[in-house]
Amino acid sequence: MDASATTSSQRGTIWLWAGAASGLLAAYLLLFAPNQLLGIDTGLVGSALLLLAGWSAAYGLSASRANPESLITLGEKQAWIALITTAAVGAYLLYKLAGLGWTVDLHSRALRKIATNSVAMLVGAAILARLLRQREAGATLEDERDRAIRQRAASDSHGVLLTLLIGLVVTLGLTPVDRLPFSSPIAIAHALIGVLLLSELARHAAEVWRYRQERQ
Amino acid sequence: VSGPVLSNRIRELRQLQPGLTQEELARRCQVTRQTIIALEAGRYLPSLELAFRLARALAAGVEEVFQWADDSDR
Repeated sequence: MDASATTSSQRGTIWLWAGAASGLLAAYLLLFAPNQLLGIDTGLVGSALLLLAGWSAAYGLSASRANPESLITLGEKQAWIALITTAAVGAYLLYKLAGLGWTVDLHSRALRKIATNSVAMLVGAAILARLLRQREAGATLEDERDRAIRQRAASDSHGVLLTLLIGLVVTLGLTPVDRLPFSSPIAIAHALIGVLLLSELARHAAEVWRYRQERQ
Repeated sequence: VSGPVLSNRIRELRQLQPGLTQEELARRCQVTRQTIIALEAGRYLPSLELAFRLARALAAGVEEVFQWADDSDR
């Protein structure tokens, strides 16, 4: 490895550490900090820090890989962003809704706050994906290999969605109401959101896994 | 079928042309450089359209670029 590659690799490592630090701070602000800290909305700051963490990680990964064999495509970077965002939103919803109780009122302030932060994370991920796309403008950004990977991952995800939906329908249909832990409409809505999140998580995990398989 | 059905001579034919880097071949075939890397390593089987694009970019026939990995597969 020559001197410029070493410098690039060191720079990449620094960016990766910066990303990890931002990610940890974001997780603290989103999950454990009070809603307002010194008059600042911690949820929105946490979402912004998550965006910064994603950018640092993507930049660090690009800079630290001097070996062309380990270069990752825009499609793989976007799959990673989608996987991490979906996992973050899922963990956030699970943690907050478990804290509030699954039957929390749909119009409550707490639920609106959770929804705002979730949307902020999703918007942040979309902005990050857009920034990465602009950064690599000029080259071919995606091709038939990316499309084939996405198609196979979507097929995997469809299988997961069907399995979870059938499981939910069977549970709702066969369990007596008094023994059902989630029989209210809002609890069923939460369960359905969980099913959608899990199938999306499966899709992005399958994309990342297939990209990695083809690089090994 | 275990292992790749087709093997290819993309790297060999590319290196016969001075200045034809993976990046340049990718540009000519309108694919990403990572797809060329995966093709050269035998980890990806291209579509028929991409196979023809590769052959044209390498100034060779499709059968010169791609061969059966094992004659028993014929």
